[in-house]
Amino acid sequence: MKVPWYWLLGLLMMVVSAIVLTAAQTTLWFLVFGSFPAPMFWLILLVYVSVTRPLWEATLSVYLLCAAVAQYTLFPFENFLIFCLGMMVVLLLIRERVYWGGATYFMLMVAVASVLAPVLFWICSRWLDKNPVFVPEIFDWLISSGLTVVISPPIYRLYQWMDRVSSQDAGSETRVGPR
Amino acid sequence: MNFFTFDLRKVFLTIALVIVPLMAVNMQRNSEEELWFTKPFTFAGGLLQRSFASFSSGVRGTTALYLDLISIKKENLQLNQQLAELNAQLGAMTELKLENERLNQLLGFKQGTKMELLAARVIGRDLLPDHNTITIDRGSDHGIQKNMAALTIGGIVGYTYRVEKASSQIILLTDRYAVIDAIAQRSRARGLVEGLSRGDCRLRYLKRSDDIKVGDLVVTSGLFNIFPKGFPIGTVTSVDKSRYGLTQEVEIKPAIEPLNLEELFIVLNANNQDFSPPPEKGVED
Repeated sequence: MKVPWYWLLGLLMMVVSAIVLTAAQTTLWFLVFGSFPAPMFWLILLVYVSVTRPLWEATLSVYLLCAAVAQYTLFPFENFLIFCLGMMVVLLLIRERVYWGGATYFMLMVAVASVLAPVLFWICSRWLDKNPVFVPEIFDWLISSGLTVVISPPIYRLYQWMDRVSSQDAGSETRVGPR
Repeated sequence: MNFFTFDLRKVFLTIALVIVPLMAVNMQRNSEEELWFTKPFTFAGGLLQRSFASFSSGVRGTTALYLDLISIKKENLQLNQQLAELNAQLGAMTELKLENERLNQLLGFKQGTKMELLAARVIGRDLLPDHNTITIDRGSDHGIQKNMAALTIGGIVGYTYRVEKASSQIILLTDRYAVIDAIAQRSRARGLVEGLSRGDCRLRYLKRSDDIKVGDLVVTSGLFNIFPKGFPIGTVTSVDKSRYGLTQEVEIKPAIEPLNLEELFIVLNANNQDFSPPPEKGVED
């Protein structure tokens, strides 16, 4: 069996970038901007794999993403995994209905995910937590969501470049999109 | 030629050219004294001189001003840069001064207690907005273990929950996963402090009959020697005694703003330190 080295390289780059970007979100941003809410880099990556990968690959990527990112939060890994998989499924459903590719589409999907994230988080917390969230930190979520959308185009370019390096055909309608 | 017939022009000329000058030279006059007939000319001359001088000075001044504008602009730029640099230095100095004051306070606190404390700097916070955790720059290499208390001079911060070699994560007392055993300082009523993730906490599992009032200070119980006994957690802001319940719900405002901290202490060993105030004499008797 031929080992798909480039595909593995792509996965590795994705995991490394997730760790680096999330560390920047939790530490670098905090040291520079203090307690001001940070953009959710992990969410951008989640949207990217959801809109550019086939279902099985997106699922695998989400598992890897959760494993890489869960160390930065108190939210338990299993809860975080369910939350991320839920997000991925919703984004995949939207992708099946509406898809045109490119940076604008990606920004739109990040905006959708940013709005969806606090709602899904609240549902997951109510369902899975012993001491669930009663009222989410709406202000922090809103600021984070806005910043996430604003910062998503350069991250999209970065992942496109990574896909080119690992010979992935990111965003091609032959791989993803409505059939 | 008739003697009396003389040319009047010649006479005037002779007077003007010979006699008047000779007379003038021979007159007894102070040379410094101004003559009456020269005064108007002196005045007019002075006026003109002043005008010329003023005009010249004005022209030179204006020309110089315009000529200097370029250098003034350059100088202004340099001064602005210097001002910006000085402002930045001043900001850094102020920051250093404040940090120095904070560290001095922490040092004083550390020296004045029998607890074994480790100072740490806050370097990060949680990935999700709904969890209140912070990351510090000290880990197992520095002696930190799971469930060690984190505090600062003003009150309890939380406790460690994930310890790496060179960093640790602390669950803040305001996080909804945080639980700290506590007592009301005045009445000694006992309960559990839980976070509400909105910058507040609540004191739960208090008996309905327990005496607790708004404004009461809630302190650590010192159970299991994790936290020092009697260290401030927060102040009671509301008490809700439902009509039929067995317990009462008490909301607490933490003594400190845990998300705004820059430095804190990890309690490596509380050494049974007790911060409770000494009992009043009447009570003791």
